[in-house]
Amino acid sequence: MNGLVKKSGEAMQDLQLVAFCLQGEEFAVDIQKVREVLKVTQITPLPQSPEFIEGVINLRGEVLPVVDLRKRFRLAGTGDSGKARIIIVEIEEGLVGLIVDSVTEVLHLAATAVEPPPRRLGVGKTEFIQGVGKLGDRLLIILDLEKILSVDEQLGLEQLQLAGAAGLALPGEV
Amino acid sequence: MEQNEYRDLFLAEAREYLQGLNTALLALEHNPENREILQEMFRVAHSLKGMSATMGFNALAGLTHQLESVLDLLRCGSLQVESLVANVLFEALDLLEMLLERLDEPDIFNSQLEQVVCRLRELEDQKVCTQSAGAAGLRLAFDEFEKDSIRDALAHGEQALLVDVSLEQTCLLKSVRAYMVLRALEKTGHLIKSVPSVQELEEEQFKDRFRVVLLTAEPESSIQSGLGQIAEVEAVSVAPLPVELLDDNRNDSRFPEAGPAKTVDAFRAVSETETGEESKKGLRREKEKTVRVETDKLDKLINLVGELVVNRTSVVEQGKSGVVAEMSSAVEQLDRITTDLQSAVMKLRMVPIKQVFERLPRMVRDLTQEKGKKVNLEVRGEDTELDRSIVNQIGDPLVHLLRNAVDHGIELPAERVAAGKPESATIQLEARHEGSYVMIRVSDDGRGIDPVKVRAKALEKGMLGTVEAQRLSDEDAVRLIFDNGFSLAEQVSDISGRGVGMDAVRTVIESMNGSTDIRTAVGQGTQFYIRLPLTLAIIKALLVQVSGEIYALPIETIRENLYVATAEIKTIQKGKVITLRNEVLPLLYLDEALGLPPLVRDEVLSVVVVETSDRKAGLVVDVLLGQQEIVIKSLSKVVEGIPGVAGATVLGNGKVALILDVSSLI
Repeated sequence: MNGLVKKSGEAMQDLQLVAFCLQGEEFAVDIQKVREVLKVTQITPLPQSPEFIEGVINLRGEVLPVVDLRKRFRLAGTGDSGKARIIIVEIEEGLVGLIVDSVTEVLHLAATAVEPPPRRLGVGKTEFIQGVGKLGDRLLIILDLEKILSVDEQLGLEQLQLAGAAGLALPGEV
Repeated sequence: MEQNEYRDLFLAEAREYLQGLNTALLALEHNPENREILQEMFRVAHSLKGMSATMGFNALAGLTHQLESVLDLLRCGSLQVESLVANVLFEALDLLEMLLERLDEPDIFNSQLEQVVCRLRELEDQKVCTQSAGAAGLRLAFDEFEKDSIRDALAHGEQALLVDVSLEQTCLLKSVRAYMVLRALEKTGHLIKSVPSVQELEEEQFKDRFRVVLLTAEPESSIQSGLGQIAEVEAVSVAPLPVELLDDNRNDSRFPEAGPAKTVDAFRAVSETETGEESKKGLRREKEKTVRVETDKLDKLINLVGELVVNRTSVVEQGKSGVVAEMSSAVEQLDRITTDLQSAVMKLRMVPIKQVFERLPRMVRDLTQEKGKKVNLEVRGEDTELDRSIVNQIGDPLVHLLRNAVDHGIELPAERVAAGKPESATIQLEARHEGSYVMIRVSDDGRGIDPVKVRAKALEKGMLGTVEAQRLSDEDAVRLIFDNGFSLAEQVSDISGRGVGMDAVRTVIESMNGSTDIRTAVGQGTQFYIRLPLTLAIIKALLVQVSGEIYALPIETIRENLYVATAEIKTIQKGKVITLRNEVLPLLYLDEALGLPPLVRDEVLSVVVVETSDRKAGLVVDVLLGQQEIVIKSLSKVVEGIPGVAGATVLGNGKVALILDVSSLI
């Protein structure tokens, strides 16, 4: 854990992340891309849109699309609705809300504790993963937000878990 | 980042300047003697040059410099505003505009730049040569006061002498020498003018020659010898002032070797004495009244106020049921203020239609020249305000209408004279408010559109049958030119005078919830009318409920609401229809059309009859909720392009409702 305590010179490379949970798996996004975190509010469904687009919400007068990450990753079932949150993130196309099971914490991660996404899973499958972060014995899948809406690959949870496992295995090689 | 901010500012300002130059040049063409316009143009060109140079856009600065030189010649009268000159200037303005559009790649215009600069130079060279031969480089201009003094002196037996002094090139303290010369001259008589000005001489802003006009009783020779004694004076020539300089307007105080900055100072001094200062001050005051704000910031503000209004509604609701008495009056106050705030903020989106109108005279001018026609364009109601987004879109349709008017509507001058009309045609462009709409009228006194010919063409195109064609009134027949099928005809223009692309005009206007109309009389002219809503941001909409969700239908598309018993519904070719006043109306179940799970339907269905330019249908909804003004919000890029959805709005309860795009649904 002392890897987290960095000298000021190296602090530049540290990542500050917002961590969240989906079906027990830990994910994270760069805090610089996060605008705010909301409780799940009224969502207006958008007809004839991809299934993972849950609908649109009103954020202080702006109408934003909301993506259900569970549906995006093809996870069955729903999380605890009391803990569910919408993370408003800024991507190239504008602001987008991401529905997650729960938001756990804001954390620092040394740049050295982040491994590149494992390539061995097959080309294209891991494009939306920016890297896998290790924090003690925890593994965080850091998402590449720009790709999460654009990658056409079907994202399955097994792949994510495989990615996580691969991330665990990687340090031995480095 | 900062550079970028300046750049946007520069671009905005430069475009404004260019527009100003274009407008002024047009005015000048009609009124070539107007010095004030020239002064103003010169001033604007100079500012533009300075700005461009500061920002490091050298191609721009260089071209503007050439432009400025020619304007200077025009200003001082050594060049006349003829159409050739105007054309070259317009060309230069066009090129400037192109350069502005592609600031970062000025090289692609190199060859054009060379050409235009060359042409400007040609103008300049012709005139400078003829002039400088007479005045030896330093030209003199006298204002009325100076002329009077000279005439006065001449009448009193003094003579006006033109003293031309050259200092040695090695002279170190030129200003001191110049001062000594002036002092010596002052002892002999009255100095009324020097070129460059006394101030410039003192500041040493001259090379080594200057000229002075002296009113004196002393003979030329004694003055010449007196000056010759001053050290470092190379040569002195004293001669009587040529009388023609007094009558001739076409003088110039320009000092060819002097930099442009000085020229402008001289010019300012002249302009402020010559032209009344009121107009200039007026302009300046106008500028101070406005502040430039980025449109993004404005949109944000408008959004936030919209949100405030929504929140107000819920506060007001709670305030009414409030326990505390004071609360309800406070809430009422809040209610009023937010309403005022909203209407004030909505006005921020409004811009004068001038922004579009300004560009049109130039286009009309070029086109009339090209077509060999004579047209007077009268523009009215430039200050009429419209929503910014409408103003941005109205340009193309207007260009199209004007182009059509010049190209097809207006006859050649000879034809007009033969028809007993004035040789020069008149096209009027007018904007005015009409309730919550803006009416734009484009009218010409050309040949008009012949309904007989339109009918014939429509028949030929198979757009309507013989009986139908006969039944059609003349007015309706002419309206056919807005139809798709009609404008597809290639050579419509030669029979009707109009038609090509009119459907495009109509489509653009209708996409803004506007409408078009036309009146015409053969031989007398044609009037096009465009009716537009004041704002696109707020529309009236009918709220309906479908499959548990609320949707908004723009009221413009709605013709009526009906209740239809299921028994009345018939099936034709798998489609459901009803008969409404002898007309077969296709029915569309909105839940199905939107891919929503249908609810149990009643025996009696709520149907909204909608109509677009070419189709009519009945939309079956679950519940009609009522009419309301809604603020339109665009959908994020992530989800745009969903068929049937035009946008979204926020309802009073804070929930988002989708606005349906009727034309893509039916």
